Amino acid sequence: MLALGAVTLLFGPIMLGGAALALVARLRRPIGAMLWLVPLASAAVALLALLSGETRGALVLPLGLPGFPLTLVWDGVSALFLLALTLPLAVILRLSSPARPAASGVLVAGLHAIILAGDAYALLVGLALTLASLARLAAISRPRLAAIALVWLLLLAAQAPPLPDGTPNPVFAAWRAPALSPLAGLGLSALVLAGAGLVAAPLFRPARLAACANNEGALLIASLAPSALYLVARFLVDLLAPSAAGATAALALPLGAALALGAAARAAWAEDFLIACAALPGWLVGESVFALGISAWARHLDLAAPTRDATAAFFFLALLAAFAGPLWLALAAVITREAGSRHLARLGGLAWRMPKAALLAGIALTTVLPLGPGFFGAPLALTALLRAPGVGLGAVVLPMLVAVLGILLALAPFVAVRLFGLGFLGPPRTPRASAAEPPRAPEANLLTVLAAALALLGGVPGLGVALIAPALPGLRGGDPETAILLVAAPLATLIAIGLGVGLFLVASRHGARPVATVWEEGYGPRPAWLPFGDPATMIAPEILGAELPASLAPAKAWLRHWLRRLDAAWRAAYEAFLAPPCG
Amino acid sequence: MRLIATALNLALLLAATPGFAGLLASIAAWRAGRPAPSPLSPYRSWQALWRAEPVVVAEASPIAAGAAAFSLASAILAAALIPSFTTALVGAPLALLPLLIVLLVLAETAPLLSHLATGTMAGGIDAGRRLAFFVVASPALFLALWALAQLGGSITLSVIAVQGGAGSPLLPHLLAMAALLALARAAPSAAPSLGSHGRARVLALAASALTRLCAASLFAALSVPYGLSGDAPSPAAWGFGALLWAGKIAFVTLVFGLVRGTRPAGARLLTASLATATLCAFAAALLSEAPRI
Repeated sequence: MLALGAVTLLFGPIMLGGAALALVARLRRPIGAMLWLVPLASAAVALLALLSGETRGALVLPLGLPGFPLTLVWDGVSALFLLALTLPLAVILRLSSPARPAASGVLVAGLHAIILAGDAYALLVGLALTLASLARLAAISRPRLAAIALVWLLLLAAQAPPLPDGTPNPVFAAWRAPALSPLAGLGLSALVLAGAGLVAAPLFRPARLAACANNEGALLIASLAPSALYLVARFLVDLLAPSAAGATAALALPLGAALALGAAARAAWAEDFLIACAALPGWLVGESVFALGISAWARHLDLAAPTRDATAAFFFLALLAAFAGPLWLALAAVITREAGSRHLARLGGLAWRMPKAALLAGIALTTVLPLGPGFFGAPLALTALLRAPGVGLGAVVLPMLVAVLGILLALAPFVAVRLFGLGFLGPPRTPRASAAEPPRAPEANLLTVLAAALALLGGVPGLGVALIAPALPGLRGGDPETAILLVAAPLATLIAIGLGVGLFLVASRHGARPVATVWEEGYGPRPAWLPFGDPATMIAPEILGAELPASLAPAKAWLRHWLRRLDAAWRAAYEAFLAPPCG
Repeated sequence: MRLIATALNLALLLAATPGFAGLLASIAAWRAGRPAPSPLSPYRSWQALWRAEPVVVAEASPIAAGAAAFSLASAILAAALIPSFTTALVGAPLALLPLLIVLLVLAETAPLLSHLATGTMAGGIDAGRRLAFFVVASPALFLALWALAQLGGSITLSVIAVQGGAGSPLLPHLLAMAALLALARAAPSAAPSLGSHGRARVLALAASALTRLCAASLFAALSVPYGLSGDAPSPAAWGFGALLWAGKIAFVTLVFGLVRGTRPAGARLLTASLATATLCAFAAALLSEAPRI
């Protein structure tokens, strides 16, 4: 209650006062420059609340229509997603002062309202403020999208169980009571996923995200990823979980697999560094939806341990998407600006020119790798599958899920090695890349905040559990294997890094005699007149992993052939149907 | 006592690593019709490399040594968790299948950074081919491990290795083992350590060999879960278990060496071996759940 009061007192008057002051032209810019302090304070409150266990409270504000006061709730899910939302938002707002301070202030208020909404009215206010301000801030959002979102919300609110006197009940807590029929559960799950998909749709257009200037893409990711996943968490994990588990699993599993595989494939074969980095948040969002599907499936079968593991993986993936998404895009923007090109073929050797940026990129990439913070994502979801016995149809479905998750896990090192190796390792491939300057101090320091948050999450045993446990009360009291795994992963990361550093120091001796390269991998040393290497022997991004699409080409051709035949058969049948009868 | 057992377990795996590398080289040479080197030769050659005069190749990247060091560190951590002769290890509760898989994957993929650190086309093609193989092989690999975990009734290796899926059907066990063997046949050979010399090269060779030894040891613990002593400390049981482990590893190495092709893997990723592995793994996964369907 205290934390909720603090956040309300923090963002309410400041937002209202700020919006009023922003009308005065002279004060807009200084106010906009200080706007980042609001999400930062919210992040501090959320973190303190999560660590101290202060995660209960509800507040009814006398704002709104008659009979529809604004209800705010504060629980583990709200606190977790508020932290996921506000810390990256503070960093991005500090990184580049908003060009439209009033719209940015409204955006911050709207996002807070979405996360703290306790009824349909508060959510309506939050969505309206957020989408309207995003339409003003970034050209990627359109008013039509906002209109569709509002229609969606009205549809959703209409499904709420009414009060005893028959009037509509806007309070979300009422959703917990009724047992839904399978069809109603399917409809509600589809409605929630459609609404969250509407909010998260820009995250799956990496080319558009990469084209945004002035860190607008990072701002979009920081705003939309936690908001969309919060809607999913609130409705499908918190409110409707017991009654709509089967329907949620049936929808979330294929949707999450398709989203994650699509985004991973985009990141794996993009030749534009910015586009590859912009595809990564979509990958994590898709994986989190997939983990939600596994959790719902296990809940449908009354399997306690896999439900707990998969739900924890969902929350962790949401946190990683919120923290790492803006970091990837903002960092990629800095790197490509300094290196003078977005094309992977024209980067290379940046680890020596900008070592701090390389370190930050390495930490950011660990979120998709099964190392450090990334262990809490796909490997934790895989643990849930390893512990889930297939009963009935599950015996056929579970192996398919394992195969999909295996492919996602295997794509992670592919993408990480490709992006880091081509971008930062090897010799510089252009004069511009060889003269790249390290990012300036404020930029580097701000991005270090997000990277440090990820490193702490993945390297401090118990921190991740402390953050997730309020949202998932059974996490601490469950069986020991989950608790051991959640503590063992950061511990193993720390030991492996420490041992690796020790071995490296032992292996690299000082005073070694330098020798010239005579023959390396079939190539001679670089001639003096080609200081950036012979283009014929330099690595090309399209070569790395080219066998994979080539191997899948026959299958794709076969599929295309049959789709064409089906299409032809359909057209023939349709034409026959339309044709006039003989005679 | 657990600490002593853990130290002995780790020492056994580390000491066996050069011998394992030598055994693999001997089997490969024998199959290719070349004179087989002694299985003990890596002990001598690695020692000579370690003591060689340190040289630094011009423009060599320290990434190669760093990647090899991290790879070896991950492999050592996995070796400390995988039981060879006893399950009474300090890290036994931490020996969870997902964690072990992750450590072995990291140990196998980290050295590929050294391929890209050279910046040449050949290094990129090789790294890309290995990573792409992991992608296409992952369904078979994870399905086989899932089936073995289901049969063992746990994700904790010490539980699987002691209980051994008592009463579980034999056919899915055999199919999962066949899938892993077919994967071993389809897999590319150990990655060469590019751009490293002297001690860094020893680290790279040791990391590669220890990763494979850990994989073989994991395979032995999952598929032939016998001979591991439990919590009661007994030097005689430990000695017997160590001998049995050595026999199991030698047998597994011989089988892996025999099923591997004599020619290096071509550019094609989707081979008959990989298809067989995937089909066997799917069948093992389905049959491991058959009683519940």
